[in-house]
This record gives sequence, C-alpha cells and structure tokens, in this order.
Amino acid sequence: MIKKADIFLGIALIILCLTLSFALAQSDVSPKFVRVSVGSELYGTYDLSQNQDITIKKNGHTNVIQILNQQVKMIESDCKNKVCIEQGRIEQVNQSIVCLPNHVIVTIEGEKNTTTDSISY
Amino acid sequence: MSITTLNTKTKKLSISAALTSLALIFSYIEFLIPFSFGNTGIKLGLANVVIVVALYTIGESYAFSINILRVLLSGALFGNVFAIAYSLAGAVFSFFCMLALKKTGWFSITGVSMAGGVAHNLGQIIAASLLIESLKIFYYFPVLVFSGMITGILIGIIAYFICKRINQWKRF
Repeated sequence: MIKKADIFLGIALIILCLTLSFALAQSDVSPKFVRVSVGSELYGTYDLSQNQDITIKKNGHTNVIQILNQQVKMIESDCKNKVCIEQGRIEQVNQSIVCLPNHVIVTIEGEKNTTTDSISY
Repeated sequence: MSITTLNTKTKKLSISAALTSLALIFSYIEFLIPFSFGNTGIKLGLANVVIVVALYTIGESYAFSINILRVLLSGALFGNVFAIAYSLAGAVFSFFCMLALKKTGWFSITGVSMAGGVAHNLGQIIAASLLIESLKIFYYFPVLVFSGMITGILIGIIAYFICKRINQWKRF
C-alpha cells in the first residue's frame, strides 16, 4: 500500500510546504499608510515606516500624532476628554484612533491600490 | 478489428459510463453532506476515488475522459462557471501529475493519489490567481498543500482497497 518513495515524496512536500510558509511570512512587507482625516476631509497620508510627529491643525484645534516603529499614537490633543490619547498605540491595518471633539480620525491602511474589493467563490 | 478487442472496447466504454455516473453521485453526496473542515474551502473530493481507480484499472485515456466529464457535469449541476473553471484546472493538472508519477513506477497508489491531491489544489490556486489577477492568494498555498496531502492519502487508501477487490475478479 505504501512504498518508500511515497514517504520520501510526502516528506519532500512537507518540507516544501514549511519553506514556502516561512518565506511567505518573511516577505510580508506590504507598505502601510497612516491616513488622517478631519471631518469628512482628507488631511494627509503618511508612511507608517517613517518615524515622525505630525501636528494636525484644523478648525482652531490641534492634535499631534506620533509615528514610531510601525505604530501610531496620539500624543497631544486640545480636546477635553483625551480619549484619543488614552487609546494608546495602533499598528494593524484598519485600526483607528478617533478624537471626536476635534473630528480627527487616524486610520492605518494597507496597500493603496487593491484591484479587488472582495472575492466570493 | 477482432471481436475480442471490440468486446473489451465496448466493455470499457460502458464501464467508464458507469464510473462517470458514480463520480457524479459522489459529487452529489458531497454536495448534500459536505465532508469539509470548517470554512476553509478544503474538502475530501470523494469523486477522485473513481478517477484514481479508473486510472489503475481501465486505462489512462478512459480515466481522463471520466475526469473531464464529471467536472463539467457536476459543475453544471451543483456549481457555476467559476466552479467549473477552478475544478477543471485542478482536475487536469492533478490527472497529469498522477499519470506521470504512475508511469515512473516508483510510487504506490497512495503516493500517486497524495501527489494528485496536492496537484489538484495547486492547479486550482493557479487558476484562481489568473482569474482574479492577484498573487496574494498564494499565502494560502501551504495550507492547501498540506490539506491536499491528507485528502490525497485518504483517497489513495480507499482506492487501494477498491483496486484490490477488483483484481480479485478482474474481468476488464
């Protein structure tokens, strides 16, 4: 029922499988962006891999976000409740920090040009 | 053409017709009671038992036509155009891999079927990446290789026992 060659083939396939998954896990460096919008307007888009502080001044309010080591956090805000600062750091795609009093929304986005919206089989 | 060859040809033809409908019934059973593993898109593919058995008993050309026919028919009955495209790519690719491995003579029916299972998934993922023009789905490839191996081994073991029984009263 089972020959030696079968076992070799199986081991070869498992090794191929493991190498592939390792290689794929390593190659996951798709660029991420930080998208800042105030109200319904886009304020700016920034590279997540570039460490910087961004001051958002709009409608007489000031917010400062910090991009550090692929993470974003709100470090300053002139709003009252400071929920946005307490929220801490975000790093995953589609996570967001919202400062509701100042209408500031900070979102992390993945690849800019995805060709497909969704796929159904 | 002598009577005996005509006889075997007719016999093989009718056997392949019966096997095609058997494969269809297996597809139908799987459509009714999916032997799937969660929502992963992995399934056993019971109909492939028929293909492997046909490959080992009545010959490669018959097995190939059974394969193509059952994909087209089960796709038309239980699936849609995309399902046909994916499974046709998988079935054809897997068939030629199994044929090549069988021809080498190094592998048993289980090993051939295991490679066939992996090749089936590989063919499908290539078709899918061509259809949606994205290479991102290859992230799913390691999962599919592994699942193809397991289902292929299961199919191979079933096919081994069937072929053993058939050989006991081999008439074709």
